[in-house]
Order: sequence, then C-alpha cells, then structure tokens
Amino acid sequence: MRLIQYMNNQDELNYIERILAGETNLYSYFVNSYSNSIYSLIVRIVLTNEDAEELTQDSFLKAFKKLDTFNGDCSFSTWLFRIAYNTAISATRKRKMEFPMVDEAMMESVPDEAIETFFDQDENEIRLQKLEEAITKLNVEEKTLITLFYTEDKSVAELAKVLDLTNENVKVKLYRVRKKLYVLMTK
Amino acid sequence: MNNDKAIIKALQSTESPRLSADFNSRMMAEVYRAVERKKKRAYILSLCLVSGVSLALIGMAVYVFYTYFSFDLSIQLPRFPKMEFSAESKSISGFSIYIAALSLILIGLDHYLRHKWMMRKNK
Repeated sequence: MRLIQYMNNQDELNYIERILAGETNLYSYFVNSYSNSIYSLIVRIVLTNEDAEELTQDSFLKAFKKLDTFNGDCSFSTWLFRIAYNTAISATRKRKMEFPMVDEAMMESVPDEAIETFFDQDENEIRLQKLEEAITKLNVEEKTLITLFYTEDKSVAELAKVLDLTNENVKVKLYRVRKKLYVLMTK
Repeated sequence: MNNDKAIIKALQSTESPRLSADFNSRMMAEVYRAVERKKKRAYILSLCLVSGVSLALIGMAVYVFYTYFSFDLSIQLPRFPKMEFSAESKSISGFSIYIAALSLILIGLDHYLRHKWMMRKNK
C-alpha cells in the first residue's frame, strides 16, 4: 500500500515538473483525479452546490498558480485539500454560520466503550439517518476532519498538514468528534 | 477508530451532488487562460523593465554630459555636408520612392497574411 502511494507520489511529482516546464495540458490529470473529492469536501463546508463548484474551480486555479511552491513534503492531494479547505473557510467567513453547542460535561461522561460499539454497527437505518443529521450539525473543522479521515483515508499526519494542526491535536479532535456525534444523536 | 462503519456509511450515503459534466473542460480552459495571462504579464513586465532601464541610461548619460563635461555639444557634432542633386538623379527619385513604397506595402501584406494564417492555425 505504501509502495503504491510512494509510486503515485513520484508519478505526480514527475507530472508537476512537466507542467512547470510548459506541458499545461497534463494538469487535466489532477483535475480528473481530484475534482470530485475536492468538491465533496467543499460542498460539506459551504452547503450550496453553485458556491461549492465555484470554490472548487478557485482551489484548482490557486493550486495551478502556486504549483512551483509545491515541494513534495506531502502528497499532492493533501496539498490540494489544504488549499481547498482554506478557500472554503475564507468563503464561509463572509457569512455567519451557526453550529449547535454541545455540553462539555455531557461529552466527558460518555464512556469510550459505548462509542466503540455504537459506531461499529451500520445496519440500523434509523440510526444512520440520525447520524447523517448529526454530521450536518458539526462545525467546519470537524466536518473536514471526518470527511478526510473516513472517506479519503487520510492519515493523522496528513490531516495535521491540511488543517495546520499537530498530530496530537488531530487525534484529540477526532476522538472528540465521535463523542460529539454520539451526544448529538442520543440527546 | 477506522472501524467506525456507521460513520463511513453515513458519510457515503449523504447525498453529495456531482460536479457538472463539463466541469473538467471548463477548468482546463480556465487554466489555459491563466497561462496566457501570465505570459502577457511577463511580456509587459519585461517591456516596462527594458524601457525603464533604457530611459535611466539615457537620463544618466545626459546627466553625466551636463555635469562632468564642459563643452558645447553642438560644436562637437559633425556637420552634415551640403547635398546637391544632379538633374539626372532628380529624375529617378520618383521611381525610387515608388519602389520603396511598393516594397513596404508587400512586406506589410506578408506580415498581415502570416499573422492571419497563424491565428487560424491556433484556433
């Protein structure tokens, strides 16, 4: 798995070098590979399809213009997700979004074992529906965390790069998001 | 944490609208436009730079002449010899002007047609 990822990164670095040398058409490889993933993340943050599509385009353009600054210390997708996240965050700052607060004490009282067994089962349709509703109530950073961790298979280190956090911070936030989801579903 | 099947399923089942079908082609058109803009900006920048440097050099030369040299420049410049045309050369001057004008028109036409052909080829 790691070898495949390493080879993909090498291929992508090779593509980037060629794009910077003037083969602009190769950028379509990145657009084709990541446009849907980027769009899925942004649409969760900004909530309207039209805005999300425009912001996806902005993200790809920003990445293209700054391509010479990509130094390969992370995968291209991680770098692109970071640009997309920052672009979406800037857009949401302009309009006020409100997210429900969850009582800290209530979250602390939830036992870890209960969460493990709770989220390990995916057969109950009503529970899944409730979970989908609870996800919409998470704040932007929390939504980004779970989207990238669970659907894009990003590691903690990669998440830390996207959100500009430490690895420890990401672990703590992921742990707390699960508790928050549990509380939002059961209250 | 990776075994949170319910969260994975909920995230996957949340109806996520797809990008419009022509998004990728529109995106690439935008990228090509950005490349063109970048090229144009670089051209304008280099033109400004060359003009600026040239003006600065001319300014510096004028400054040096006026400040460090105490001579009348007009005296130093070579005087043009008085030109006298014979009657024979006067008679062919009209023809010479005609040939020069024709050459210029043909060169201009050649440039215009080449430009047009290149534009059509790029389309």
